[in-house]
Amino acid sequence: MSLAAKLPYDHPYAGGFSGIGSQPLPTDADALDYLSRMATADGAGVETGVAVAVDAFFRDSKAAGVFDALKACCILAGARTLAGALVPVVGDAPTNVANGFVNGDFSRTSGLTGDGTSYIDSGRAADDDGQNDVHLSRYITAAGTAALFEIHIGARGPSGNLATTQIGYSAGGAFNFLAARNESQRVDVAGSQFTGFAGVTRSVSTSMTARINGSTSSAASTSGSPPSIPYYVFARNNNGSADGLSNATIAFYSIGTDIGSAGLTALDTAVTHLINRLKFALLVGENPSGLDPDTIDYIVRGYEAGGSLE
Amino acid sequence: MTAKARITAIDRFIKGLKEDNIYTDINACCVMAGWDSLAGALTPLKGAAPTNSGLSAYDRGVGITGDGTNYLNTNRGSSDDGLNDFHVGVYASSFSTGTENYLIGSLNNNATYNAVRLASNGRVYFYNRNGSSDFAPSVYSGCLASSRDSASDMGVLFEGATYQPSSASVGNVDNRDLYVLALNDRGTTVSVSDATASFYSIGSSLGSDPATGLAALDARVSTLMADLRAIEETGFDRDALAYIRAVEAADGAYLETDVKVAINNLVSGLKSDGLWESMASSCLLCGPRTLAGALVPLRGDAPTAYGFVDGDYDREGLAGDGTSYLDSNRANDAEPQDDNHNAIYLVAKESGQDGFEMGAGLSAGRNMINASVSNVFTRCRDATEINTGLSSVGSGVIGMSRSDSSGYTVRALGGEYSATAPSDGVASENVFVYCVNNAGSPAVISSSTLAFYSIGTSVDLAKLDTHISDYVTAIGAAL
Repeated sequence: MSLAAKLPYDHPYAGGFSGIGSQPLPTDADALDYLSRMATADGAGVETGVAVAVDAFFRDSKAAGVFDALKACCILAGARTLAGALVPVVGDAPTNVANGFVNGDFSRTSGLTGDGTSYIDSGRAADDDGQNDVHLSRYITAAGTAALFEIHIGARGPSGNLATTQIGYSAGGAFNFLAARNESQRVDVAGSQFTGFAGVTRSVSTSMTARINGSTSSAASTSGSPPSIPYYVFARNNNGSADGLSNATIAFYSIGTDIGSAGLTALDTAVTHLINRLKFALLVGENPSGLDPDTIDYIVRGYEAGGSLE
Repeated sequence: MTAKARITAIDRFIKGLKEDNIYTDINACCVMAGWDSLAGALTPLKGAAPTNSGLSAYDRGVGITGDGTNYLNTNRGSSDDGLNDFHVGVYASSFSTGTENYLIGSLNNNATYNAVRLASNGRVYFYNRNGSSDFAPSVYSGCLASSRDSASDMGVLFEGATYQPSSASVGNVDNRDLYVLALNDRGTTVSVSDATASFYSIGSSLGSDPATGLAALDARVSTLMADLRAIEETGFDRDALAYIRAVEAADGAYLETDVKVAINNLVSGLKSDGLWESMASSCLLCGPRTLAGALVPLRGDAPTAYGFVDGDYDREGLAGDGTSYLDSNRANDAEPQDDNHNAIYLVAKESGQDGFEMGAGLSAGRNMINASVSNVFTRCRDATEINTGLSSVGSGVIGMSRSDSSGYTVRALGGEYSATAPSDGVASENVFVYCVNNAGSPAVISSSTLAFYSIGTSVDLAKLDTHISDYVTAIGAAL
């Protein structure tokens, strides 16, 4: 990592100094607050390259009008430690249930990898958002390998109340499933477990919209009353018990109010750019500010393939 | 710092393609330069990753060089883009014609080509949905592409100019992947190339006007490649860069990074040891891609070649034939009588009659180097021939340097000899290489293979030997 991008964003010389040049710094007030909390949890400063990637996400999601809809959200990559990764972007901090996740499960560039037994309690109840005003999203960098099915994020009420909101994958049926306030009337997308962004959103009682693998689709779906239990990540909160445990690698999740079809696309773009910028900052070691997102995506893929531009 | 420079170059390229509204027309593309390894170079900018059948010669300054056997499968089918909405392009840092080969191409079952073909007749052929157009190249590098947006016309980019020949499209009846550095001939790999490819792009028509789109692609890709090459030259000596540019212009193609590094190390070394200014006339007869490039002077005026043809040159030396020679265009008396050097690098000694490797004059004040059957014979400002006793068997620098009137030093293939030989004048003829200049006519012409010559004032021959030998070794390793 270049010296400039490696300096903590709040270092006196981070913005510029003779011999290391100048570089953009994070400016969004909410981003600065989040970065400060992350640094405290990590016990070390956040590198400028990482900080500007986070800052861009805050600005992008605000510009797209989806930031206020995020009520519970974690960026599970970029931070130096697991503790830093569990610092919430907004909302309450999640709980690492039974301390199941350890630092070895965490990668700064890829995120947090499940083990089939560990999961996170998001601290956000399914009914904290309206029955017809809800969204859920996650970004995975590596697919899980659960034998039957796995849930990346979700909550399901007691038997008979299937107003489930969840995103997961059926290995048995080889399809991705995305539901919002109705477990059976949902969007299914056949194929492998798609990495990247996936999300669901609902604004009316009669239909829901989902996005995965870069495509958005809607389904007729009658909403049900959500259960008053928190969403789990890496699993589904099935009426108080974790099931559908996933060993995927998750780099981001969000829970909140409806963001609409355009909002799903915008959040997909913002999160995808965020993860790519974090990878760029950490793999390439340069400040991603000002670079075209396609440049960042291309160079990150080149580094992940084993190449270098050094 | 160089990583940042490469990132900036790539970013400028991508942003430029977007500004020109052709980025979305690119559906399969690799930037095969800049990266430190094939792993990066074969990461697709867009589309599927190509499959490498076994190419391994990669230079981050110029790209992937074909080996005549292997190729890249772009994994982009010829029918993946519209019949009348298609472009195919490649940037080559070096290519050759004369033997049938393809920079990129596919041939379908109904004889429909999509390709850039380098034909045995010396011409470059562009095929886009079978419609073709061909040109005679004047340089052997650059962006070559075609783009079609109608059934009747296609645009062609050749040597920086665009053309729009009338050319009817023919549909592909099957979907053959385009290969890079070969032709996919209905599933069989043929006409494999030894060119150096730095970039390829396949997709839909470049914008709504092929000529405009092709010109934009040319500008963006050529700028990117120039940027990436220049990054490899960071910190190079100014004179080395000037020489490299001149050689590349003469070659009509770009030099490999390792060759450029060897040139820069040579020039820097010659300067640091105080030899550069003593070399008034010199050519590196190894390293450049072509005879024309080899005759670009490192120092002084360009020589005039008599009789040599391209086939006499193979990048590791210029082979004499007993009749061909070079006029260095450097007068023997351009340096003072008692301040002079002549030197060559002998790659292979002649197998025929005993000729002279360089010299001027046939009487008083003569200069001559003769790598004879077993010994090196010399004259330096002196009519008397000296048998130095130094071995002429092998390869290496042979030179002589005089800095006073009483004698001179000879160095040959690592050995040194001090000749007690008073200077007796200085012949005024131009110094010839591969022979001696007898009043303007070549005499005792050699068939040796030489990799270097130099003429100038007195030098430290041991240091000159070190630098030239290191250069020749580096070129051998680079090729």
